[in-house]
Amino acid sequence: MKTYRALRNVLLLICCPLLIAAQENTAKKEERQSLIYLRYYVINNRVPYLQVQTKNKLGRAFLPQANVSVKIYLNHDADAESLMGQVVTNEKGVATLGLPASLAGKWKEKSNPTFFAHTDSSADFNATQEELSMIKSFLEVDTANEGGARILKARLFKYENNSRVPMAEVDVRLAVKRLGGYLNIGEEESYTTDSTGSAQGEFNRTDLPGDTLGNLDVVALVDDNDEVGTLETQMKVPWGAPGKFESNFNDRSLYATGNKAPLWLMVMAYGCIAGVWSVIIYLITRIIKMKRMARSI
Amino acid sequence: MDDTMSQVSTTSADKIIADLYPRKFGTAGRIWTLVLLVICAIGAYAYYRQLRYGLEVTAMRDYASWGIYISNFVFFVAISLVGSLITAILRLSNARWSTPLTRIAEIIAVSAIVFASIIIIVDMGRPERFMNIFLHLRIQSPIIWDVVVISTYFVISLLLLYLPLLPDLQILTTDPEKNSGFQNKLYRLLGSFWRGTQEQLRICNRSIYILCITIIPVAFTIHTVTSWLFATTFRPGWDSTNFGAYFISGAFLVGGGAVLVAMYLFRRSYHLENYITTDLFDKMGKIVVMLALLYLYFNVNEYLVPAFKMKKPEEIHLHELFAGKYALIFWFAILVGMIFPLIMLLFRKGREPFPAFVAGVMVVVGAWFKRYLIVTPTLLHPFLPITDVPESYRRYFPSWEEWAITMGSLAGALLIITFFARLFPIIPIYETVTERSETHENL
Repeated sequence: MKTYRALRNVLLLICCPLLIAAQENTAKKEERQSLIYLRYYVINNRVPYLQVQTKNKLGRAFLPQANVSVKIYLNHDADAESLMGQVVTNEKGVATLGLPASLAGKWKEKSNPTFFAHTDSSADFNATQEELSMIKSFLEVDTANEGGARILKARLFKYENNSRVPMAEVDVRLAVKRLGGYLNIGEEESYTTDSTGSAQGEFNRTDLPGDTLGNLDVVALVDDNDEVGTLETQMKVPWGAPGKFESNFNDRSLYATGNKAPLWLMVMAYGCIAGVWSVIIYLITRIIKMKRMARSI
Repeated sequence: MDDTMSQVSTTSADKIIADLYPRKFGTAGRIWTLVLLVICAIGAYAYYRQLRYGLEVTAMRDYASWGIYISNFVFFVAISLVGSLITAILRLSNARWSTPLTRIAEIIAVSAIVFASIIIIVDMGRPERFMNIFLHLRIQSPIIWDVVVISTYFVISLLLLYLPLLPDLQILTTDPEKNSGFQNKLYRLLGSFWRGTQEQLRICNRSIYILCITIIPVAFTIHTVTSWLFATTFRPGWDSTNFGAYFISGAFLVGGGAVLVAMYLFRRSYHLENYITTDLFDKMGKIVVMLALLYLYFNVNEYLVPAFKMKKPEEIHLHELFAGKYALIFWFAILVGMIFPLIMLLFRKGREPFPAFVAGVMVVVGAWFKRYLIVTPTLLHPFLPITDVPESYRRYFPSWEEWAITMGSLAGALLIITFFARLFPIIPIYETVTERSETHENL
């Protein structure tokens, strides 16, 4: 009996950590929370599009989840006629979807459209949904010359009953597009719109390289605003220094075509080849000489 | 024969000639040749399939675009360096003990370089466009440098094989009865002009001397340029300034190993114990120890420096080699290809013929796998991975066609050596007689 008890205790001791681990594992699995993020974009006041991102929250980590199929509806949830489309997220858990032409009528119905996103349950992702309401808006950009100062102006409107109403107290960034990002036009990080929906800043960058004519792309940017989403409008202005593009395509280089090989390389390579092959040819003449000797013996 | 020959007692010279005279294949020789021919035939059939269906029959894809063929090419180029080591370096340093090995080394070099050239053409998807390399020549490309250097090295090696053969050809034509009709024709074609006059000897010796000097920089260039094929490509594992020296040291080692193997096999097959002596194994074994240490040193350099900095792509590459899916081959190449032969050959007992042969085999086999490791794992870990490629592109294991062609090329190189040994003296007769007579005189 004693032996049996001792054996039981040992088994319990071994099994306890396993059971705890198993429970923790189950708890961890249950802890998974699947999330959909929706972002609304309008670039140059054209057709808006949505960016969808799928993530799993595991413990304290938010991990992007790839290959998740997401259905998105406009204004009416789970209505087949309001289906904007179905997207599958990429390896970063991201997908984008533009407003299809077939939903133009529904788009005009409301000045504050709502988007509904749904996912089905799968091994990697739980069934979940998300909605996003936005205000239709319009961001315009213009320039002015005030006492020799170059001014960049932005005006932000929202649509109410198909008419534009200025939006105040929204942060707008005024910047110039550079390779890989945006460079602010002045010292300010952003400008807040006034009651007329306007925000303006002085462009005080000098000698910024532009294209061959000195054109720069300036932008007004509203970044991930709760009401209007992400808006970006750009225009070309001749405020840059004309960029000089000097092609080295026809120069002699290691990466050029065969007929444009660097001279130093040709001298070295052909010099070495000529040197060694001269020796070989010399030695062949020696063999010929030995043959001639044989004839004269 | 010149005066020196006449000084040696006729019986002694006759015995040397009789011992070193090319012999007909015995049963073992016939079986050996037949096996090699069969392997070559299978390789030829596999190449026919590759020509017919394209490189698709190989396992090479967008990632591993250089597979076993290029590993094999590097192996052949490496082994060919033995010609310059034994023939040129030892000859110039007046190490006369190496005389019996010079021809063995040179025929290994020639056969290896022939198949290095062939295997490069095999690796081409459209071999009929081979001439475009020359028609649209880009002197900036290391591939062109390699083509030029390989052809140059081949010609020099051929001359270095041919010139010391001239006095032996005269010996071989002395008694036509001993030879077949084909042999007599061949000997007359190659050496009928050789009379052995003082002037001819002077020209021949001087030419050999010039060749020995010329072949050293060319041999160093051939393997340095081959290493640049890799080092000029920006990839983890290849991005090294050390690659030229690393390749040359490895080449000398595998060449030394190959000579040990060939020495033992020729000694056994042709009963050349009086010529390929145990002392020769001892000396060659010591050279291999030195070369193994040198190569080990460069290996430490090659792996320690990137491992210390551990940039991300290098980390993946090194992890795959040291503890990942290539770990088995990697440690096999390091231990069997370098450390074990090194330990064996450190001891006098280990430098006796059979243990030295085993060490040589280990060096050669290990070296082949080392070349595979230089080429393939790197290709599978590029700095910029291709997106959305099929999973099969991320792995590489040669198809049967690739194995067959590779084995066929190795068999082909051995066939050249075998046929050469059947037709010509594998140990220089004239030089052996001369050297022994000089030794006799000194005594």
